[in-house]
Amino acid sequence: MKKTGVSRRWFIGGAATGVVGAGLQLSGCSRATSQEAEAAEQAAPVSEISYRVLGRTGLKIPLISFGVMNSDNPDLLRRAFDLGLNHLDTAHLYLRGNSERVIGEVIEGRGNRDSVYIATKMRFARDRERLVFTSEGTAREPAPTEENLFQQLETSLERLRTDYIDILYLHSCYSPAMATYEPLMSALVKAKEQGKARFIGVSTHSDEPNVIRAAVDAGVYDVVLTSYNYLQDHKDAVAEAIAYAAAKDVGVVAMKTQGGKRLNQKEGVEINHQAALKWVFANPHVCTAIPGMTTFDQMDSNFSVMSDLELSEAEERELKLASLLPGTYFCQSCRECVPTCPERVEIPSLMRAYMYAEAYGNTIQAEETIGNLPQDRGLSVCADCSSCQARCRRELPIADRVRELAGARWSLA
Amino acid sequence: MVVACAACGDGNPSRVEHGSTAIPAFGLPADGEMSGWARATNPEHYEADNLWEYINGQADFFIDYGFVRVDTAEYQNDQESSSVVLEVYQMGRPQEAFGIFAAERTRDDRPLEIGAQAYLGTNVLGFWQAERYVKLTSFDEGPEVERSLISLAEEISSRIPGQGRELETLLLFPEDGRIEASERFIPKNFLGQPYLTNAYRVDYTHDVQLFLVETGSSEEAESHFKRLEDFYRGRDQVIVTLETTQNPAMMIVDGPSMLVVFQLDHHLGGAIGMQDLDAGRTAAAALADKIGR
Repeated sequence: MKKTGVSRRWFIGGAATGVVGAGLQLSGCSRATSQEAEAAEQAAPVSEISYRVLGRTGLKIPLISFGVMNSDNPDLLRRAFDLGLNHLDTAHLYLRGNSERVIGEVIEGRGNRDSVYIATKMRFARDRERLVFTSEGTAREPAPTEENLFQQLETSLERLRTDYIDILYLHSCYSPAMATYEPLMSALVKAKEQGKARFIGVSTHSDEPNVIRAAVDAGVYDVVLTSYNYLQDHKDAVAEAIAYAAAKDVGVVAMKTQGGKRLNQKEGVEINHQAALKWVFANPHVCTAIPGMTTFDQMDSNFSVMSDLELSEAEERELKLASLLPGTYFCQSCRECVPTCPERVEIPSLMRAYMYAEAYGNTIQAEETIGNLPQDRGLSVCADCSSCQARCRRELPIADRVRELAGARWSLA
Repeated sequence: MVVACAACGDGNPSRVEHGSTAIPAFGLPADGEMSGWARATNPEHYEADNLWEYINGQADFFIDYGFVRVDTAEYQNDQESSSVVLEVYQMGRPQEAFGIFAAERTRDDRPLEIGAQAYLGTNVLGFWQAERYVKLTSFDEGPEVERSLISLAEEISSRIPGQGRELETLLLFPEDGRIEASERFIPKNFLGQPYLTNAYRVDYTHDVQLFLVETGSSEEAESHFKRLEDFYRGRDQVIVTLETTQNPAMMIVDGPSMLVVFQLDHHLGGAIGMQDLDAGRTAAAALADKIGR
């Protein structure tokens, strides 16, 4: 048994999730293997692949799967198959279907449909403010009806050059109401009964804890595909929902494991992808992750994670620091906070100074940043203010951070 | 979450930064500004930070193609009561606008002459012009809808500064056997290699795809050639040979995937995707010949 390789301190972060410290073969991950998975396993370099079972589906899938968005290089798909990565995730709408088309062409050329699991997603019109499906379709998205689901499904089957989808998801459910929208649930069940989908599920990347629980409680879904990463401020709640799904034998697939695109683009700091994946796999209820891969190096790097799931102290520290960098939950410099401060303090610069001090340990740079601010809009104004009214649209704790900057810890005021 | 968009709706362009360049944001036509079209929804815009909320899993792909921002709103046709969603994707460079346009173009689409290049699908029209990729999607289908899409696209095109024209590098590809509307621009990670950037690829008959990678110098191209050779020599079931009897020399990669590569000045070119090495060798030689002229 491999070690989960992550400390309680970092993974739990204060709210007990009850999953750390468990082995890899816990609930939701202990079912017998299917013949097809065994065939895939035998064809692959077994010693380097860690498999988990996707809940009640019984599908045995490598920890690393392939989020196939990019249609630029079919050779990457072939390489994935060579490595034994047998679970591909795409969506009906990606690149107007070109993503599905490339998968279909490669699998047909390779003749390996029986040893590959294809997951795709159907998307429908939604009200992004009220977080519900709308009865009327839009130009970009069809109305949420059985007819439209089957229309999308037939098109996807044609593009993928197959007569069944292994996992058919309801794409991007913002809320429990969307995940349990009866007409679409019924249509998905019907697709499963007709053999056009072997298993059905929902995907979500907002309000994940509640969406996951609602999907599980609906009783018809086999799989949930959810955002899950070390950068989420609600990661403990997501982990609890994932455990809930696993307890009900619903398989869990993780996406956005790197925390979204381009962590800290402006600073040019690269995320440690391997560490981010290890963090996800430390949760034994996650069956697999679907990182996008566009180079052979990325694929090999992600693949190698499966043979060493140990999250080192250095990697743990990197993730911790990365969570403080811009582009994540740190200041985006949108400047929407500035008008909310009666003194019009230069808050983005102060948040930047905080980053220098906290994330980089560079108090000199922090001092310089603060020192360059006009006196009437700098940290000294905050020092005289006892009731911070400034608000961040991303809910950064502005007052706390300003207090830290002005406090004794760094003596920057 | 929708980003507040005070500036983008009424011809009051803000400026957005992309690397070292600044590109004016596109002002979506206001209500009543275009004859026959009423704006039916408030404009929205998304940037890299929240593009995921708009196009989900495609966001990373668009960002790899130099995405800067997208402005979108729905317009209603006065006479036909049909509605169209207009999306104006602002990319960093014209190549990237072309790249995302080409990535979304399908074989079933009809090429049109709007902007630099355009495609028309069942209920969607896309074109690229300068640094922008514009997509118009209709709820309905049919000849009248096509006419509406085309007229609206022409109107939008006229409002985009910068003349669109085919990318010059694509003119270096031979015409013989070339498949129409198959051109692609791949900004990074071409052939799965992080050092191969700014690649162009065109489909030909006999399943051959020709490619051209523009590098900064002949030394850089030579270095890439060597790295590719090392990469393939390190792969299982692959035989790599260098054919030096011709000019330029050709690297032939024979295995599960076949590849022919040459280096000419600052270009790295070749053929991929074929089942027949001779077909690839011949096509690559034709490309080298055209570049060398």
